[in-house]
Amino acid sequence: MMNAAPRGRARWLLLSIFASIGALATVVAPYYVMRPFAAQDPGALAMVLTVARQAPWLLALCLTAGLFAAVRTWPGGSWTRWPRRLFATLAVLLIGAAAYGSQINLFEQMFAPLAAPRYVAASEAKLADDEVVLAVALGGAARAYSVRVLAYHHVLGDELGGEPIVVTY
Amino acid sequence: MWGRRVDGQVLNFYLAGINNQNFLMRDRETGSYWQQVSGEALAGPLKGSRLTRVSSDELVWSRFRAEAPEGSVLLGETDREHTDDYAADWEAQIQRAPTVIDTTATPLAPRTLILGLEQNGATRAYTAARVREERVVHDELGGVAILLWAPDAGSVRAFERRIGQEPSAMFEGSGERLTDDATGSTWDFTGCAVAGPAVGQCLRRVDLLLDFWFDWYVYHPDSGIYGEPGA
Repeated sequence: MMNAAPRGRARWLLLSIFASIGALATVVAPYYVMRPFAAQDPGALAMVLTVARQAPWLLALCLTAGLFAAVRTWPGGSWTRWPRRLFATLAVLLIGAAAYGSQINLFEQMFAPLAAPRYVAASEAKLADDEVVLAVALGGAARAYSVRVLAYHHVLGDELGGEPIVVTY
Repeated sequence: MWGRRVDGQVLNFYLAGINNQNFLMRDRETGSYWQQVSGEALAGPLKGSRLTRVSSDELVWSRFRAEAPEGSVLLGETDREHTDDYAADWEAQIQRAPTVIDTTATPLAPRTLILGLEQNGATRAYTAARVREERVVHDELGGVAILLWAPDAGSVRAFERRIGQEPSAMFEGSGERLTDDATGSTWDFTGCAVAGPAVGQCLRRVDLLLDFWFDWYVYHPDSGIYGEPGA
């Protein structure tokens, strides 16, 4: 009986730790594998894309585990419980922060999409004659996209001649 | 440039990752990840699907305006902060950026700008510098007689050299008009005959992809290089 309580405490402490590590790994692993100036291994890439796709579930699981550990850590009147309570609370906050962070796509932040793309008639546009554009003709309509603008945003959804297209550069 | 209707569903893409220095896009509708340069879904419910390529041209603005006066153009930001900084020495910066693909077994530097062509499974890269220097390039790829034509420093198109029964006409000239040796007709940069017996005919357009050599090489490791042995 004397040993039961410490073992129980260690169990919730471990759960807090594992839940925190799991949450951090879920958020960080995709960025780690998809470093801009590193080669991507197809297996590792496939794995982190799966992690990224399942991130909401994984983080919900980690958060549940973290909260559960905190709740189980809490009871009792002794002041000696406060370090453990504090640890469990920080773990929950950390997992919460990870869950929040997973909603932010750093790649998209870096190359912000054009919020409201606007188009003007070719006759009214004031581009330099030698400015290079990507040109497309679809369903009787023609449209040009300045490479200078695309090179920053990279991905632009559009519709031309009734066809939905994505312009990439 | 890609069509974004897949199995009847219109997808909205955003930039969501990187794979060997080519972007991954994610669609909001299914959460699948797509390789920007190949249009293939790498992960998610649509894994294995391919987007349909939409043919596009790189042209200088004056040419687009002349060919498509009724056309429209994307406006730059009203907030010019990014684009102005970006434009100044963007190309120079990019040339210095490190690459992760090993191209040392090939005769080209990784960030050489190339025009990639694919015909009947055969692939070949043409350095943009060489095409712009030669202006008119005759070649044959995958059994198709090819013409590459760069009338100015920023515009290039590729065509099949078939005119009627003649599968591989030769073209001569420089600047805005070429003449073919099969019919003696004159052709403009849209690939259509503007004078001579072939008036009313247009050459078949061939898609080309302007890309860095390393990026083309990842997806087309067997690609030849125009002007190099074994091309």
